[in-house]
Amino acid sequence: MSLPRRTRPPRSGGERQRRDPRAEVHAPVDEVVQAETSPAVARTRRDPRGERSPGGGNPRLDRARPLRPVEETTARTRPATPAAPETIINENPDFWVLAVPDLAGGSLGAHDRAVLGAARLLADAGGGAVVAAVFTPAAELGAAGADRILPLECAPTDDYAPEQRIAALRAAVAALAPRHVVFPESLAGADLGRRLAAGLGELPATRVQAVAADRILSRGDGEAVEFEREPPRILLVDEGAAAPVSGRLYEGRSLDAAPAATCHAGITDAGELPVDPAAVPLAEAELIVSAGNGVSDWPAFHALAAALGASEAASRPVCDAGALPRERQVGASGTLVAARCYLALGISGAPQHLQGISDCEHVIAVNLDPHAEILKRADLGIVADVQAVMPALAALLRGEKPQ
Amino acid sequence: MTVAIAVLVSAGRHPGSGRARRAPNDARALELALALAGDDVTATGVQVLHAGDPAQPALRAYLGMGIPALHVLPADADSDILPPLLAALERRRPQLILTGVRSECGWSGGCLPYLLAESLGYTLVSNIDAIDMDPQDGMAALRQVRPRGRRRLLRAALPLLATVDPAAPAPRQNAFARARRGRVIEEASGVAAVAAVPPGTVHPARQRPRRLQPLPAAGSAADRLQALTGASTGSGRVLEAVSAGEAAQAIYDYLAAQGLLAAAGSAPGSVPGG
Repeated sequence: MSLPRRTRPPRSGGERQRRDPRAEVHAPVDEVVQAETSPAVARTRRDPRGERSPGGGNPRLDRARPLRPVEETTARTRPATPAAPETIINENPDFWVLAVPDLAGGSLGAHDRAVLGAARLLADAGGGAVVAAVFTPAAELGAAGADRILPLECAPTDDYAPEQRIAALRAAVAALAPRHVVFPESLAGADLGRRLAAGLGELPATRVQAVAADRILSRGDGEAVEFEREPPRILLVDEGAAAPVSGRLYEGRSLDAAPAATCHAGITDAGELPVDPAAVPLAEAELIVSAGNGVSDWPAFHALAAALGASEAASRPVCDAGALPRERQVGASGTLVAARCYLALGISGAPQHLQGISDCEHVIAVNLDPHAEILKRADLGIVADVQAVMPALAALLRGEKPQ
Repeated sequence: MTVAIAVLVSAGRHPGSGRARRAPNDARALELALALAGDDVTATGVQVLHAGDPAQPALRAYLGMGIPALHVLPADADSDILPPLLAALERRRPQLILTGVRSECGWSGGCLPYLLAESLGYTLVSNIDAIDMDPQDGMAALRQVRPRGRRRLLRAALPLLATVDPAAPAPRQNAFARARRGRVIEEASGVAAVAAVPPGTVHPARQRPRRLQPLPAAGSAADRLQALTGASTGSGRVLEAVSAGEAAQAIYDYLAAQGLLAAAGSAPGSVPGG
């Protein structure tokens, strides 16, 4: 079936000159009339093939030349690293927010950064400034969000001396009258914060899960409920409560050290006890020696762990075979460890195992296979037989000369 | 040993099933007190105190641990337990008060021991897992829990309030017959009940996702992906074709540079177990 073609009805008045729009665009205005009369206007046309290969020939078959011109690769270098952010100076703040980081070992941990981040949020809500009260000197406090640093004099620096610390903190609170005091909800910070709150007669917000400028969420009733309220004077924040400050640099100017406050000390610190590495839960262990399928000399492995004072761990195949108990398994189906140093012996580095050690600071790996994945993750990788390395390292640790 | 000990216990709640039970943390505190008192529990002054509902059946589990009686200060669920506990402890003035770090239900903020110590004027030591007493010089030796499995030895003067860490030795089982036999003694607190106002509006708890590391503002796509996944690649060197002695020396030097051999210096054989 076909429809009859629609035809234009014939105009009255005979034939008409047709326009050439392309010629009108390219020709000067006064030539339009002429172009209408002579439509064959010569225009220069591009020759793409001539531009591509001036020497002639098919470029796709010429393998001698590089595929991409040299100047193009130099143009694609990485942009220069951004300049360091400008220091933010808060000269006359409306109020103070006191942050008391733990500074375990004199360094700023992730929890301490979250505390300073939470203090930053509370201070930025109304033109305040953050004062970090520190008992031990630490670096990077300005980059972590502190406008001022208040060094507190406390006779025993790393000992358990909560009474002296509270006396110093109460003097600081009396001097600065901070709107908020923020502690980490860690073992040390939880103790200090609750002591200060009880001493000042304040009801603190404990186990704070989220901090915003005007609302906070804190856990209660075991883990069952959350309390939502305005931020009180004293807050004890969990590690995920606030994002750490990044990309900004605050002044971190040191205030004058407060004079040491005297108080009655009922507690004396008799020092650290030696750690039993076998009793430490694997997730908390500081130094871990881990065995994989490449370890067959188990007496040497246990001797090395004892000589290092390290906790023993293993990969999944080893625990499957029963060489070490299941609670010593590291990886996705075992424990996620966060050791300072992880010594992987005869472990190839399955993705599930690498997932379990992603939070470790330093990884040393010994493996016979030079292509093992763990050697790419390791800070120090050694291609050697673990059966020979284990006794040599144990002998070295016992003070003997290696063979 | 003739040191008066008070143990403050709370009614717990199982986090999975929601059933009432003895609070494991407070049971650990009672376990330390019973170990300190020795076998003759009745002869010594181990007094176990609870503020709350005397008819709570979960309290019988503490009696089942071997104590003859449990003193209960009747209090409503929505009243403040600090005034009656303070009054009861003022009457007794024990030399040592042991309790858990925080309760399993209620506000469970863990502030009660601090408020009690402040009001009673006691020395407070937090998160202990072992205690020994020397009543002659009025001092206690305490072992305090620290991060990464470390422990610290402290000496503190009596009278003392100590909170017992969840890492303390596991409590003994409760015996059914002893739980039946033990007495729950209701004790009039003698103070007016004060209503406890919850600190803010109450919502059911929500599991929060883990906060990711802040992404670097500049850097390649590989850098950003690495920051997101956290799979940091080692920046280290790989030694090939080395002897066992050279490999051991390289590991030794690396550990020494990180300061990890100081801990290994102490003879591991001399470490006291448990």
